[in-house]
Amino acid sequence: MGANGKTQASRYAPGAAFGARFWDEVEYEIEALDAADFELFLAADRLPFVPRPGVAETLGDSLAALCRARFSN
Amino acid sequence: MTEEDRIIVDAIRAGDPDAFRDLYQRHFRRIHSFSVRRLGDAAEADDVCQDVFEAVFCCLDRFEGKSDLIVWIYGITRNILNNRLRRRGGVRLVSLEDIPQAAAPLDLGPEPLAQVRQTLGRVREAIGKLPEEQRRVIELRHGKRLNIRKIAQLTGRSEDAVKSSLYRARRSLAAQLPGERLAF
Repeated sequence: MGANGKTQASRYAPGAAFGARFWDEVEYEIEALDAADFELFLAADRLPFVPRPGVAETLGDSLAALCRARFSN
Repeated sequence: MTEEDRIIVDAIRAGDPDAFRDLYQRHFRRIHSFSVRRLGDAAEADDVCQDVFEAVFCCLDRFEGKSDLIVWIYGITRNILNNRLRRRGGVRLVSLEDIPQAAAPLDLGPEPLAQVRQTLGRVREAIGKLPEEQRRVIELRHGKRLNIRKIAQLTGRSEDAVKSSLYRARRSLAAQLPGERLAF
């Protein structure tokens, strides 16, 4: 497996992309909560950005497959 | 954590795929639009959504309920967006960590870069005027991006004492730097 193949494999291993540093940074973002930005996040579903057709469904199916794979083991 | 969050989290942890789908349907549009606004790229926002929901699903055990679920999801989203923006060479004003010290990002012309450096200089000067204990805490928190618990461990102080120092330091910096939008 070449470098790209290895990257692809690790990319799709559940959780592999989310190491300790990732979670430290998430904790940082939560502790340093930017109130104005968080308000924007809460209201973002009312912004006029409509996802491209089929994106939500495709991603939903992909995540459902991830769920099935995890809980069938 | 709200009661509603607890029910969803418990159901997902118990292996209920419908619960995760509910969570997805509830937040997809929010995360997608927030990402489009930040990145200006709908296709990249699609990838962010996938990354966020994978992180939520794969690592739900990390959610301890110290904050609301929506805050946790926001933290994940923001971190993933920050990482993408960093890879692009973008700069978030005015974070102590992200302002370039030597190399200029490719998309900054000389004028905005000069402004960034001026701001950085003022911020560094203000930090230099803080009492040593406050300066150390600010550097660990915003330079090294350590969380409160780790700073407390490193400095041998309680978490409350660290928070108190941070509060005093930020108040002092805000007073020294009127008009600057400090990303605390």
